[in-house]
Amino acid sequence: MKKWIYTLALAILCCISCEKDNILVDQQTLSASVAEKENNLIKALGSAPNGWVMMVKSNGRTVPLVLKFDTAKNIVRIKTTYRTQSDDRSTYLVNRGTGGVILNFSSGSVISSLMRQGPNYSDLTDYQFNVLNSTTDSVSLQCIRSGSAYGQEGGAVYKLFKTPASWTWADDDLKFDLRLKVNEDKTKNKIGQLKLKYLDTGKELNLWLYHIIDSFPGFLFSDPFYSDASSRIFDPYFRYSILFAELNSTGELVPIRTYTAIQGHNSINFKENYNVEFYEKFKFDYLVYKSIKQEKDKLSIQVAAYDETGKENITGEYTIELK
Amino acid sequence: MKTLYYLLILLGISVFHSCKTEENNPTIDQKIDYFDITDKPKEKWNELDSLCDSIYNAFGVKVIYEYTPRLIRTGYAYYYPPSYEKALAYTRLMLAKFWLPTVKKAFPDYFAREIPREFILMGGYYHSTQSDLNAASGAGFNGQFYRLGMGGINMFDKSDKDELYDHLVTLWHEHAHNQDVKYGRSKYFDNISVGTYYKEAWSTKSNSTANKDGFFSAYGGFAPEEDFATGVEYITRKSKQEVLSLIETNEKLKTKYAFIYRFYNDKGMDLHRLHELCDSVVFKTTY
Repeated sequence: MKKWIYTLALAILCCISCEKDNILVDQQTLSASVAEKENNLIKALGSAPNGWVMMVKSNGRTVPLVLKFDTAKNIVRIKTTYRTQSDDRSTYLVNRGTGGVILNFSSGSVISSLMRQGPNYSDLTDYQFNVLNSTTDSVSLQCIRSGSAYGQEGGAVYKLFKTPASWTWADDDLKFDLRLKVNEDKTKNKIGQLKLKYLDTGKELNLWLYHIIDSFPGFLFSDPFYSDASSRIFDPYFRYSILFAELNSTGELVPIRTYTAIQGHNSINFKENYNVEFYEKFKFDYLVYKSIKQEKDKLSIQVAAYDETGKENITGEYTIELK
Repeated sequence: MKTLYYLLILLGISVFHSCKTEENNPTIDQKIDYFDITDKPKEKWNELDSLCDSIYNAFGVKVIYEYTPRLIRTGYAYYYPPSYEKALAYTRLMLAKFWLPTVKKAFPDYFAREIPREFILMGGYYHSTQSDLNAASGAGFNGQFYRLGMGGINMFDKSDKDELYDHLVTLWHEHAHNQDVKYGRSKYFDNISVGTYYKEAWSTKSNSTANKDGFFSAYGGFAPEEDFATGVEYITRKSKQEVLSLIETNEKLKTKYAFIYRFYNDKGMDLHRLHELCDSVVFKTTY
């Protein structure tokens, strides 16, 4: 009997020793796993000629960033509705972290700039991301830092999707740059009409927009991106005012309010109106220019806004007589 | 006895069995480091990488414009990297034209010994939180032996000569912190104004008041470290005549000037000549 007790005790001892071996990290397997993750990421980043969309969140609403990666030179170009950027080259690195892969937006970019500006513009809390998953259809990233210096590791998670072919607003060229006098003259001190359709409710809205282009250099210091060196990566902003008006029941044009508009990349944004509840009234922060058609006496711009999945939730048309 | 043999045999098998797996463990794979950063392969180099490589070969200074986890993930320091466009323009002019070749040519011995091995570009300034408003040119980078860092690269504008000059002399201010850490400004220097430093109240003082109190600027009255660095900055910024005129107004300034000038001159750097060179490259050359 005693013999069997000893045998049992030794068998347990043996198992305990074995257990230690089992939990030892197999470095070769781990290395291969990290290498595979790294290769998957590089392959995924290069597999989207139109780029990847990262929907960042601000005050519960999403804003699209379109990221186009040149995997040969590790250059990324990012388009946003917040501002324009004439030279939008920035660099990125794929670094290895603890058992994982880090996508590192390593020079100043839209990512670091939005991070610096905090929650008024996005939920980005780092410009270095743990890569959670990457395939040729989606890339999941998580900010390494969560915000405060001693906050827990791990911020917002973003599931990037490939830029739809219809998102031509994210093409490199600016199709209707209001900083050019020829375009400014088409809209300045004129009334255009904006017809919007809200696809989730079917509601339609007709607005009349009177452009007051009043941008002057002194405005630059009220631009939070420009006045702060750490986030100064955009062009000096082009800001102007638009008087919104609508028809009342008797068919008269009634002013609603004058709002501040900022030119984004092939888009217009109204984010600077957060103090006057622009979003509460109109349910969008930006409108992208889907297409621009110019005839002899009329300019027509098809516009849209997206939900958090990148699906259009508002479409519309802006028209202005050029005479 | 039989039981004992039986136990010993079992124990032996157990030990061999446990050791077997450990012996087969591979050595630590260097590719899995906590923050493994490998140098960018040459085929991925952009224009700025090539320029940084040329600077490294010519001057031995590694210019760093990309932030990696190893460089940046300190708990309470938030630094934002410069935009590629500005980093390229800055490196071309400020580093490859204004700073490095000028010093190497004029003060070869000093250059060989005292130029930092790493130079870090900051897009903005040091911040203690993600979005706080405090700012400092190179804080956190420059109290080191071999590394220098400058902030505000995203503000770089090659057409603004006054700003370029200010940046260049500020660079020498920051470098003075390197020199201070490396050699020590000594108790002798600290005793000149001991007990009279403004501490945090420096921002309430004007430069002229500070001059009367024996400091080269109001910020120099903050602490002995800045007293030393602002002294270097002042002598680099102003002409010899202006410096000598100022120190004649105050005995403490005269003593500090003599100390600082000799501190550098003993190492092969004539600060008045440095001023002439800074003035010349910024205001008297075309770029």
